[in-house]
Amino acid sequence: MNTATGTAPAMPVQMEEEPAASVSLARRIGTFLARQYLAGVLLVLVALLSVFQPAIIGAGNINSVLLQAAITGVSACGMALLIGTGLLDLSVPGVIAISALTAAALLPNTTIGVAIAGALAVGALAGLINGVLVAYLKIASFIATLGTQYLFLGIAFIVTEGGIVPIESYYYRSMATQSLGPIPVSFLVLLVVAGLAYGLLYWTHFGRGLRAIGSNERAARLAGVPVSAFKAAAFVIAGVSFAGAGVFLSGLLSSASGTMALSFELNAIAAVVVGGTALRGGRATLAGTVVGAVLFSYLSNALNLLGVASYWQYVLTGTVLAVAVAAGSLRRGPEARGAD
Amino acid sequence: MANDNVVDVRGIVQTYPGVKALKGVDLKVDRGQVLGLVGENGAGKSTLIRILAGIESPVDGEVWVRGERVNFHTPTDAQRAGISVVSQEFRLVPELSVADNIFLCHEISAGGVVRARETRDRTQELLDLLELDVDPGRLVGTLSVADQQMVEIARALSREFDVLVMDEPTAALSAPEAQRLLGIVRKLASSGKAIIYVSHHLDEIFAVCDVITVFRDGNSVWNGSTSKLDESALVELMLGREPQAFVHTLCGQDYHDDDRPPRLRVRELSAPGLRRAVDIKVHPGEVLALAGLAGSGRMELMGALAGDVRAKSGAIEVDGVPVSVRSPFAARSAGIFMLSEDRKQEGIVPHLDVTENTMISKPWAARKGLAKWFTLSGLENSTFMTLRKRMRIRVPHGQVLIGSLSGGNQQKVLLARAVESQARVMLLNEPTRGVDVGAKVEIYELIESLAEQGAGVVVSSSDIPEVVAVANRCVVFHAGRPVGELAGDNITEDNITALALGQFKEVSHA
Repeated sequence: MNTATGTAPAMPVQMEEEPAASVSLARRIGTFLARQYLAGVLLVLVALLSVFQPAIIGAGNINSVLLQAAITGVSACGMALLIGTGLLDLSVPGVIAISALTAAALLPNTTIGVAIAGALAVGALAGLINGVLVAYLKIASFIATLGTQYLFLGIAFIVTEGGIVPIESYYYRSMATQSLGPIPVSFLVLLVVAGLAYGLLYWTHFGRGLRAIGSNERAARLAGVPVSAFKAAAFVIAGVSFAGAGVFLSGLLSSASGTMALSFELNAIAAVVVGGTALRGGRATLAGTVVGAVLFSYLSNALNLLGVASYWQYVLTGTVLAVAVAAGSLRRGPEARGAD
Repeated sequence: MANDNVVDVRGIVQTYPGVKALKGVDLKVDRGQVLGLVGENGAGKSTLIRILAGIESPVDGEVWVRGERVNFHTPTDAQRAGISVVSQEFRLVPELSVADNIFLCHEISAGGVVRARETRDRTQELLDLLELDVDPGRLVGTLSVADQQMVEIARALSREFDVLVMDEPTAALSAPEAQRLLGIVRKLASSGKAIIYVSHHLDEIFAVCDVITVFRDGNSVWNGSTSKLDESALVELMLGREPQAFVHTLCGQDYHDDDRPPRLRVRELSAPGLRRAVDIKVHPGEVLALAGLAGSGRMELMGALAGDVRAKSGAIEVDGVPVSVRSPFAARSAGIFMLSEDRKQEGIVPHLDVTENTMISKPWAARKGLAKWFTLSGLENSTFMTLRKRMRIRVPHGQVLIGSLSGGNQQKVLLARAVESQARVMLLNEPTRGVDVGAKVEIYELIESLAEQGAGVVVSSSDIPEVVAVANRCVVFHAGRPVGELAGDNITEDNITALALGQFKEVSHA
């Protein structure tokens, strides 16, 4: 320590200006609102289309849009956690099927609560399988979960022999379809789930670890983040959220089957990405995810009501998604580059 | 311009922003000759090699090959002129076979189709020449580092060449393999090739080279026949002054005669990249520096201590308690924190702000109450602001993304992370790499204050003045093992350099 200390000059401690200790609340709210441009897009779209078809803003229609959005949204919250961690889960249709089938199988014999708990437990187990494959056996999440999608779907088809398991329970079904005013209970559940996911990601050490893994896995590992355990845990949590979506969906359909949610993983991923979360990982927006889910569900609903032929619905939905994502990445461009 | 020189480099000048890397160097090599190019780190050897390889163009000066003035703009130009380069970093594709790697970009083909059998046969010939016993069809990714080095050499030999440039070709090889390679180099020379051989291992230079050119600070300061020099004269030429005699008396002796157990005690640790098991002690309040060239084993040791690489055998104790470091997480939980030498790839987490980057290594045991689970931004922000003041991190507030800071300030944030890790053993790799002079001094002060607060600090650095500045004690590594220990007044730049170059009479060791 000889020379360094001896020669240390009296460094003038000049901070550029004596700045505020932290970003002010008003500024935070300002940035939050600025990020919700997508919600603005949604509102404008609703207003425009309702001119052509006033039923779009009818209470009954809003209710059914939100019902659909809740199912996409709950699974998208889990997906957002994974995407923020730099991971992906394609096994959503499989997890929804086996967890809904579990609930359907339990319902005749037990209470709704036990049936739902059973479904969520199966979702957690499925997530654990994904997590072990990705975190401990080091298989790329895209590949591993593509595999488990087939695995879970296969199990669902074997158990049901390719058929449909009806759900008779009145209370289970009404739980999934009940509303408070025009707002479905399931959508309120989505808001709670999104809030919990936000808190988990941004207010806990676990969530910070996930974002660090998504941002720079090597640095996170060397900083002492237990990368494998955290990744596996993220998959378990996501599995539970998919199972939650499965519960609502089976209630809405009054049944469960292997084909009940085919290609649903794309809806979940689209809701997250349209909402403004980059697939590269490092951060995720939950508010955006909820708006993305609503936008998605609203689009297909409005196009139906407007009588657009179903093939053209694909074209229009795809266009809107591409434009929304492009707009988002252009807006975020400088900030995202600055972070690298 | 008829002369015997295959390569004639005259007055080459190369500048980088703010640095004059080459100030007008000359170099000549004849057919059938092995030229040893030596010099300290930063003397300009690698810059000249990049120019000869066509990767960079010089600002001034001339390169003549076989009597013709040449101007390389791309590596292909250099290859066409008959210069083949074995670079220090491997440029192999792990997913391709040995044969495909060797003939990559100059495949033996007919009508756009690779002739597999001929490629295989030619590969086998090259492998036989190098006495390398691997299947030409094997994937390069499955080979050991030493074998990959040999494949890299085979690749250079597979081209038509008159001049072979070898940059530290034995860095990854074991002693017998290196001997074998030297034999091959001699054989190539006697078949009429010209060879430019770059190495830090002076014994190799003397074993294989006919002539030697010495670079110092971007100048070619000496060239002549190998027989005119001995090792100590060569070291003197490289340093520009006489290395002082030194005694390394303190080997194995405790720096502190106190009864506390050492913060870190390493017994018989062997790890990939180390050629001998290592014993090391670091006491509370002590700064131990690890010096040595790149690839000398000090980085590998740090990686093994931090749980980044699994040690093959040996024991690690922190405060007298045996710990198991299976992962960086386990190491941190055991009280060991490591700062990586690669700030961008392995240090900063770009999407997190400076506060989060600072707090991310705080272990479970050091967090209390609600803060065990929750990040509590108010609390963390005030902690960061205190550190900001103490460490003079120039950042307006704690919510700035770390990527927008200068290198020096990023490094300070990472050192703040070290402070918050509350580790008892701090492993700091290249703590001031890429940091300006002002921040450097502040970082030295911080290292000192970490030690004063009782941590055992290990600084691994290739910056020798830095080692002299911060170390209470210094272990010098050479060729995968510690070769000497210096303490107190014996920690001088000359002593460290001499040891790092393998200039030691005997190895006494704890």
